[in-house]
Amino acid sequence: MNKQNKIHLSNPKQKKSPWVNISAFLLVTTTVLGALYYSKRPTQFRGMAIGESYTTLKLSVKQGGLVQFQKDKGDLRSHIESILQSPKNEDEETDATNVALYLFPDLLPDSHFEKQIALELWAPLEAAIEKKPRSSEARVYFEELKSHIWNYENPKLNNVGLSTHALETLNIYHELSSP
Amino acid sequence: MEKCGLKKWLKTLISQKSRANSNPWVGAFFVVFISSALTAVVWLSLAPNSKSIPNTHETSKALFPTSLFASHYPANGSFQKELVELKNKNQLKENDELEIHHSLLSVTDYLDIPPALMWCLLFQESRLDHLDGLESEKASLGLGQFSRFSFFEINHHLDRYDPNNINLIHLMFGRDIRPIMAKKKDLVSPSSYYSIPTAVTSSALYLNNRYRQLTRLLDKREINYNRDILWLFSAMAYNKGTRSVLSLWNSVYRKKGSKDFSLLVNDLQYFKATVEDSSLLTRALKKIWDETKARPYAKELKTHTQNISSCSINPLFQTTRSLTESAP
Repeated sequence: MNKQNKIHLSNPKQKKSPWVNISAFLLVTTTVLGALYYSKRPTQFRGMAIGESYTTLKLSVKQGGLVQFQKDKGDLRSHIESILQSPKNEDEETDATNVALYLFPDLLPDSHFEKQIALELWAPLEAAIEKKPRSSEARVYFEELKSHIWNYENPKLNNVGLSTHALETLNIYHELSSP
Repeated sequence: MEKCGLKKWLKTLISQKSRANSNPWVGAFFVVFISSALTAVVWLSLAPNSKSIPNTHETSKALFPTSLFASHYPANGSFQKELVELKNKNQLKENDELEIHHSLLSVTDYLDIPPALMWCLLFQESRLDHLDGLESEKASLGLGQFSRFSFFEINHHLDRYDPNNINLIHLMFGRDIRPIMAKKKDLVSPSSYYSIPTAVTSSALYLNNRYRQLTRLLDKREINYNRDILWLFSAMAYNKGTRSVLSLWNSVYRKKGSKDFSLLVNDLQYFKATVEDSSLLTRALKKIWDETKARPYAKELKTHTQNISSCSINPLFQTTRSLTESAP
């Protein structure tokens, strides 16, 4: 009788807790949802150092044309947006903020003092260059863009130089505005 | 019986009154009494009421100057000494100094720039050498050390910051003299930055643009500020770019909160303590450049701001140390 009872108690089919099913369900669901979310994130820039993302953009302007550039820029935007929402550390946040300042200023929080300047001074010029790339108008817009960014950072021309992000942004729009 | 008593009392009173009228002391007493009463009435009516008592703020305004800037400049001993040396060595000619002074007073009056700040900024930038860079291939030239991008802003974006800017050019030269350039072959042309009135006007316009850029941001966020302190920040932006100033603002706002930020743009002592904090400046500039560039740049920014502050701020608001120390 005792033996029978013991066998009966140790049989999982006979005595299955509902929590096992619930945990299994939650595990499967979160795994599927996580995989889905990860696959939806831009693949090109995931895990890439932000500095490299500028290189990718420059390449897409040179080799893939405007369509490729706009697609890659859109991907970079999503990548920067996700970093700004939950940065891993301060360095990553600073890097993403600097990319956003020169390419996607609308992503910066309203409390950021540089946002308004970027929205007023260079965001409209970049949009105008992208609208009419490699035209004489684009060249005029680029000269304005360059002047705004240099005056904004105003480094000693032969000592400090522009920040990397400012310089890379100018390189990209120089290429886009070159006839 | 009662009637007789009353008559007697009246007679006594009348006789006493007639005796009193004959006494000169009674008359004198009445004159003194009435004049004292009138004086009291006049005094009470003219006494200051609570509305006309000046509050402590007004009292302090009366005791201290309303502007942070000095009316006589340079205010610091080291710049005074250097100015005398420049004149003695004939590196600053008297005529040039006078021309700088006259142009400076006109443009600062029109743009409402503190003259002391403008003078000290030009002194810090070029030691008032309006031909600086003429015989070299320097990237920054003349009185206000203009770069080609500063020229671009004056020539192409003048109306972006203040619609009054173009009126100043018309006021000073009678016409639009742009494009302004560093014309080596025509030094006295009004379009040449080597011409003193042109250099002073262009530099004041560039400084005014920095002030409008910074105040517009604060106005938009409804943050109150002291105008004089914002002019000091504008001088920083003139020398090291608006970005350096905004990076410092972001650092203070994020790390110390809105109360401390309010102090930064309102309280001179807090402003000075912040711009003299090398590690804070370096941290702020490290958001823009890597450490090898940020550190020396922060040092330069600190020195520049200290020099301009000690040269332009009224000695009443300065310590002995800040008045005597300066670096190139």
